[in-house]
Amino acid sequence: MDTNAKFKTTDFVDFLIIGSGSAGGVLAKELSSNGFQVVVLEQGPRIEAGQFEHDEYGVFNLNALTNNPRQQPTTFRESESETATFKPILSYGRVVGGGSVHFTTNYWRFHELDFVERSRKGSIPGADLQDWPITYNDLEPYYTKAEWELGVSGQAGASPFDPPRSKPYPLPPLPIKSSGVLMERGARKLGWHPFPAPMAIISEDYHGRRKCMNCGFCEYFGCEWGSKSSTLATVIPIAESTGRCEIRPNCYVHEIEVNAQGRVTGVVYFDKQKRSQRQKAKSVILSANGAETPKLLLMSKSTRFPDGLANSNGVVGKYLMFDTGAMSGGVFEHPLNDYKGAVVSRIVHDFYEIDPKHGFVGGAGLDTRFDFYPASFALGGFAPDMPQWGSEFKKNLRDFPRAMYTLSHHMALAVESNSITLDPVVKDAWGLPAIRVTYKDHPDTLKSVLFMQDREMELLDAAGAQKSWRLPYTERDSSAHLLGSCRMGNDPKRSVINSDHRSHDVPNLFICDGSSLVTSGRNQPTETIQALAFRAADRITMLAKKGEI
Amino acid sequence: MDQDSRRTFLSRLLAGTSAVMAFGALPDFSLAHEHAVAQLRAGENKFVFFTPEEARQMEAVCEQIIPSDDGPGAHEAGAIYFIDYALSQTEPDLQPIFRAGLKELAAACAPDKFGELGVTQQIALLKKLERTEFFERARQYTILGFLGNPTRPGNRDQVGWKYIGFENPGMFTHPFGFYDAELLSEKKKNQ
Repeated sequence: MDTNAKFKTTDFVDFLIIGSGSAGGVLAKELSSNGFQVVVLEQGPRIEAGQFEHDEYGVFNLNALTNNPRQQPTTFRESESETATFKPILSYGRVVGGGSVHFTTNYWRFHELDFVERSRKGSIPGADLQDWPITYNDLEPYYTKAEWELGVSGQAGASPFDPPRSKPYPLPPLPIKSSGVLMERGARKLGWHPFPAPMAIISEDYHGRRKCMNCGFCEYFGCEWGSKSSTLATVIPIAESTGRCEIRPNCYVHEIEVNAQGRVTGVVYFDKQKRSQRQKAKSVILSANGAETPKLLLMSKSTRFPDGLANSNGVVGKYLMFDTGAMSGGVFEHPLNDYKGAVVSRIVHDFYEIDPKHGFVGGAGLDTRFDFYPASFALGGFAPDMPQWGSEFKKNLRDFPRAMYTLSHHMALAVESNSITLDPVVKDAWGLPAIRVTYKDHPDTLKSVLFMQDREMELLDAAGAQKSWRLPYTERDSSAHLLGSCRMGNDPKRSVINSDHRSHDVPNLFICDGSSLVTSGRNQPTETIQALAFRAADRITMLAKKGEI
Repeated sequence: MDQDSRRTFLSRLLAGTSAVMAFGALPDFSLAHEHAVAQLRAGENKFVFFTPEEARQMEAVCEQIIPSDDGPGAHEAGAIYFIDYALSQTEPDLQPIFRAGLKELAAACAPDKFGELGVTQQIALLKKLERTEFFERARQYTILGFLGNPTRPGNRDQVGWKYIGFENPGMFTHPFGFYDAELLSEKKKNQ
């Protein structure tokens, strides 16, 4: 088969996709398979599976796979009245495959509720909770498609809270770890319903890929076996094998260009040598993540779109939703060696909808896990009131094999002032405006986090922890889930894209990534982002074939 | 990806980068890395960034952060060589924090030297400095030099990993720990 298509920058390719991550990789595969020419521009480098290393320093300090705040600084403030100051507040994949390369692989479908929560809960003061323009039933076939095409391990029907599904998971659950056994013991005592965590890691050989070898370096690392179902390991090679898709790494797009008719004509980007290049395209699909997508739209100013592309209503960048959650740790009598194997093996969804009698609107999933590595365990695994250096600290390091953690994942309520904007002063290493983040948790979201941390302590106790501790939740911590900042909706005044992912303002501009989400679910967004991408590819293909783009 | 652990960890790691934000091109990590590792393998224990006097005092700080009391500590791991490597090869923007911090430490001890103080005095002095950026960074990089991947300088002979009970063969077979093994044997019994 003809592989490795190369297009000229002057070629008007059918689709130019910005970003090769969870959504961009899927769209590239679907559209090239449907016969279209596709160029994918990725900010980061291409790193193949064999090059991934178990190197904490490289991954965490030198940002081997993620955005580097030294080169792309971000500024942060809690409210619009403050002046933002430097803070590495965002974390996202910056490599071919994007965040799907380094994600933990928690692969949760949203529930029916997540699409209609506004109708169920009504208006919440201080929040702008909205229903989606599509329902769970619209997305269900695409959840199934994502699970089967990418390779997901799990057990259908194991959770009484699961939404209906048309097909079981393609692969059985990954092995239960000691943290999973302890979750089952503790949760059952408390009357909860633990079940095998659905994970985008293959538990058996699948589609020519080798099953998980349990090396333990999942969260924030790339999988050297290719067993993590990243777009790099799954759909990107298929896209390239069509001979119609070029993945172009080290390309930093800084403007989407429009013509006098208000149609997109292509993009301008810096290549690896920081030379300016211009790629022409018939349509552009923006899948750059919930921070880079609104940033690029806001930078793409023109006489026709003076406040940024697709932003005639001023909604671009607003309603940003972060990942929020509480984490607690415990040490047990015997070794768990929980650093081996995938991060999570058991979860509960008993608190997916927290009883409103507690005085707030919220919901969460809860897992037991071990997502520390030797140095990160020493640096971040202990509560602040525990020793942080010296003799006692060193002795506590020996708890490494006997420790596990429990983490909650919450609905983050959309708030209008939580946003991505361009910093008026600070520039990045390319001279482009730095991303300015304005963010403060809605009070109900914060209450739900504190509520769940109490449940975590109950769980650790019920599971038999000898000692346990809370890692304090600080609102100003950084986020790796960047959602809602170009949200989907039927009302062109209050959303950026319609249910086909088409910009309300620009007919040949589509947006599909975390920014499209209307609600955050219980903050495991990747499966929904990928289901949306499979669905968007169908919608876009249909529109293109009807000549309606 | 996610989550609070990582968020806490990252924000701790990155705390203070704003003060020293460098917008220039970063060095070629892989080349610098290979160079430093080659140096170590050749048995060279020279410092590129630290002066010999700075190295002596820094080493004494590392030895209090992870002492060699009940087993190998920062000293045996060669954590100081990791710090020197990071400051000279991969993160030169952090140099001023260490240089200034060591100066302040020297001033706080004068006319004595930190490395020549008794253990109790050293600990008391470091407790006073706990909230400084220098100490935060010293702690962070000593830990990385004790527990980081030994393909970089530090964690010599995997002494840090062995101390905490971590292995890195690149693959494991299930069961991994006591409780999952117990569950498996119960299941077998019931079959």
